[in-house]
Amino acid sequence: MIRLDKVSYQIETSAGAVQVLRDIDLELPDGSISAIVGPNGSGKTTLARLVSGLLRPTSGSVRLLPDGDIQPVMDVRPGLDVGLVFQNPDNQLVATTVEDDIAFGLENLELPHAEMVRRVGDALHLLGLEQFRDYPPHRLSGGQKQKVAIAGVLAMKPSFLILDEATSLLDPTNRREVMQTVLRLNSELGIGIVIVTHLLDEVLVASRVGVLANGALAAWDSPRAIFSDPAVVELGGLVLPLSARASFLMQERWTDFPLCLTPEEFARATCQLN
Amino acid sequence: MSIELKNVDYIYDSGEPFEYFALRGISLHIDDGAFVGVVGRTGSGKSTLVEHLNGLLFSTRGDVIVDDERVSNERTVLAKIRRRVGIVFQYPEDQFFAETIFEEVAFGCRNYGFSKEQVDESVHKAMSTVGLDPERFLPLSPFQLSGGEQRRVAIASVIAMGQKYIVLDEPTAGLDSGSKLAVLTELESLRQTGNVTVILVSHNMDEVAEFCKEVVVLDGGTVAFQGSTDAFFRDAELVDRTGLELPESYRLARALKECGSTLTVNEGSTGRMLDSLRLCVSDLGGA
Repeated sequence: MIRLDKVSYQIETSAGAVQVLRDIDLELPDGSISAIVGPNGSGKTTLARLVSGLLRPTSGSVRLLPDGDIQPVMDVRPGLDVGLVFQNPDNQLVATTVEDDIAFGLENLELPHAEMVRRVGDALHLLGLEQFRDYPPHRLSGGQKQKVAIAGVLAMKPSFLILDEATSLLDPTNRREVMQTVLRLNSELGIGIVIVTHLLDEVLVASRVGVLANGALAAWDSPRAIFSDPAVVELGGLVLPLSARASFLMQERWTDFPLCLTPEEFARATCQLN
Repeated sequence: MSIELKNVDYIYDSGEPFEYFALRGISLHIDDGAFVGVVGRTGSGKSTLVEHLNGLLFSTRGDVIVDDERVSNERTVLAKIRRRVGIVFQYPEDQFFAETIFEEVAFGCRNYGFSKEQVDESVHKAMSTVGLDPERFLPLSPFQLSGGEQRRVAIASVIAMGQKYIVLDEPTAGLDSGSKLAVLTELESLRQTGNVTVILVSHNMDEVAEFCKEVVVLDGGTVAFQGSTDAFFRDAELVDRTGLELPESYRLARALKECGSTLTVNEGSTGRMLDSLRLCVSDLGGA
């Protein structure tokens, strides 16, 4: 698991020091799916970069704990332990073909050629990108580009994958496809997933949701618990799903009406009333 | 006055081996004062279409007409068109360059030759419109702001120029839900009070259902639908075929119908749906 102990992060600006994150304690179990939400400017991206080892905390620690063991603990190695996928794939794609792009990170590992070829092949296969092997990435759709970015991260065989609003530029179909792929990587390969998002659907697939507000972790709970607390919803810059608002309305008459987070849940609950 | 497209084709790399029809036979009419959504899957031609509206691209065939003026590559025409149509691109904050927010927002106005007083007034008004206190924000660096604030500054820098058509290419991508709602509500009030036409390119069907009365649906560079947003979302098969998804209120109405619930709700905006549910619940309760 990845464990954050009292993680704080501070940047220096012309106006003095700004505390971006303070005293974050968090445990992300191996193979788990977590979501991080929070208003713009609450520190989500900074947290994603700290967890992935791209940034070092000003104080506190981000450590990787080998499975079932308390010791030894080690610092997270960016890319190798935790892969980060950014919002805009154009900022993450560098090479002239899909294959070269996926191989780019691996080339820095000084792996034997055969191993590199194998890993690139596996990543292409896992993401269903075989037919695009020789394509220039810029000719692909947004969703396909994002999959190439994920493939490149995956080829490094990280134990965690962090998606920093990785679907916010995609259309609904591509978004669904990328999310399905990510969930498959979790269930088939046991890769731990951290989703930084503003989108309800992506919050609902997580078993735990962290709500960041003003640089502090305001809540760390199941999606249902998060959405049952209007104060937390507001702190997190979220809006209640329509189904939840409809549930609250139903509760005015039927006090034991459950909190529903999707239209399908809501319909089922109302039919049980009849 | 209105924006009109007549049989517009746009071909990238025309005549080259990789020539590609981005738009094919597009005919559209956008009325003054409308709040129109432009939707469609990635690669359906939304951004290409939008770039025709103020002469960033010129149609390969067909005409784009803004207020009776045919968009062409001619200097005087372009100057006129661009005074009328403003575009907020995707991730507009990536283009910030100025040292203060005032300078950032004032840049376009100065290019249009506004007097010092006009610049001042427009900048202040635009900042208030996007819900940012001018006194507090104008002296700051745009790079000090959060993502939601930066997006609003970028929108302010376009609306400060006072164009009557504002085109926004995914203005809420990457914003938190609270900021999303705030930005769109501000645009709606600008439309109502400022006599502005808003053209919103979006992947978020909930916001389209909430704010856009009309919608243009693109699919493979052609218009798959143009008309009332409600009529489009009632055609679930067409929504699916064009690679889009139903907004939550339509999904809710459909799910209730499918499970044979006695509750019926009105699709459309959040307010409309909740009001109808409230009525329905009080009817049931009285029985």
